[in-house]
Amino acid sequence: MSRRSVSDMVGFPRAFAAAVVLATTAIAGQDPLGEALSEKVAAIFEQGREAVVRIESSDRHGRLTGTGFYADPSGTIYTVTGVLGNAEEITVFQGLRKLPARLLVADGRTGLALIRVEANTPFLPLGDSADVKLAAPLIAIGYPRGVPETFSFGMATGFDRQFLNRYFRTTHIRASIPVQPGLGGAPVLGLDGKVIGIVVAGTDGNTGCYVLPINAAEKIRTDFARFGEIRPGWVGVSVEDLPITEENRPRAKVADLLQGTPAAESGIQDDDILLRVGEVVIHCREDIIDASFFLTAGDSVPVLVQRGSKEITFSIRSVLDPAHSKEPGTPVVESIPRFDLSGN
Amino acid sequence: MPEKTDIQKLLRLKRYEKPPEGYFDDFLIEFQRRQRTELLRVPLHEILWDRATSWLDSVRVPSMAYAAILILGAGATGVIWTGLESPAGSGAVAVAAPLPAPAITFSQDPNLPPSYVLETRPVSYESPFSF
Repeated sequence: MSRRSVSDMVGFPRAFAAAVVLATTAIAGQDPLGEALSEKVAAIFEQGREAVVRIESSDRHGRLTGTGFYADPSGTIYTVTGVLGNAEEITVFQGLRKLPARLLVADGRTGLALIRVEANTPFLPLGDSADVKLAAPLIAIGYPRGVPETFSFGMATGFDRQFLNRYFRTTHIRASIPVQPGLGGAPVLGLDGKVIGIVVAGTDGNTGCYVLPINAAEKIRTDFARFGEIRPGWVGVSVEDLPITEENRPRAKVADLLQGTPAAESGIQDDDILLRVGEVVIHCREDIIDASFFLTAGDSVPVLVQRGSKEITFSIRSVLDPAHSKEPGTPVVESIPRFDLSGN
Repeated sequence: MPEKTDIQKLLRLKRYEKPPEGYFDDFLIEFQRRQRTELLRVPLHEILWDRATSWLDSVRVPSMAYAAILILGAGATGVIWTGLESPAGSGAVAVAAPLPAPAITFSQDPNLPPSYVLETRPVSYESPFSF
């Protein structure tokens, strides 16, 4: 006890002195870290604000408004389906410009929508959401509640596949960015000024938010560019967790393989242990969520399995996911129920 | 008085009457058959009238009921008369023509603020463990 008391007595004046120095420098505006961060965030906002737009749509239910951003110079805009509703008219407000827009494609699985205006536009550079690390500083730019474009700052606080026992269709970035209504579809940028994701929901009273990774959004845009529609792939494998062994390593196995599916025809069997699907290493069945999201119907995917003591790679050509029943080439926004993750 | 004497004589004679053999064997069946036969001879409206009047006799109507019925009747007459005198003058009493449904306007009015969107549909109840 006495040792601790002595330590406290010695440590207290040092901590107090450090706090005084920090406070003094901060007040004087000489905190190099804070000042650098502030300048960086301001620069990113100034650089990117022109490419962030307010979107207004109207249908028979009324008017909706949210945020979007240009992803290329030909007027392609990323936003979320909630902003569009069953849109009959879509209008994009970019500064003083008011541009009519048309829907390209809407993905009910992720809530992402692509629209386009016929104009040459500024655009935000896209980053790689796989590079986002925990505690990475993030900036969202958008139009909350009718005010001019503004930004909100926070950090990446986690990577979630589910929220309140409901699964995302792919892993989402949890961010401590405060958000307000109107920020749906807002781009989230890293400190390099590149977009790493899109705001799709607020959490915990909107003190934080969930961000759809830009890599997932790009998968949808690539599908549309290649086929004119979204083409989620399906090989016909169900996955179960194996009991954790003495090695204390969770594993996932193939279960309920249906005959006639691409997986069954490739030679995969029930009880094969999944090791890798495409580029995704499979440790447990939840790893399938990301592996499956990035499959494209018509493309082949290498699947590495363990059967007994052997490791075998199968190349499986996936087909269109039967759950994705939309007719090809008809990008229609469906009536999509909205989930309030904030618990309000 | 002579009638009474005759009836008394007749009743005394009845005392010595004996029904034929087997008379009481099918007495009840025979009685009901004759009753039905008798009923079929009476017209339907007479039967209904008899039953209605006998039921009404059993009902005890409070004296105030007559006053209430009178007031209701007067009220109904007044309503009908007012309808006939209405400007529509169609004779269709107390039947309103269907109004056209109001157009859905919600926040179509450009002066009203739009709904600001934050949430979309990032989650699903579907099992994601197959691909």
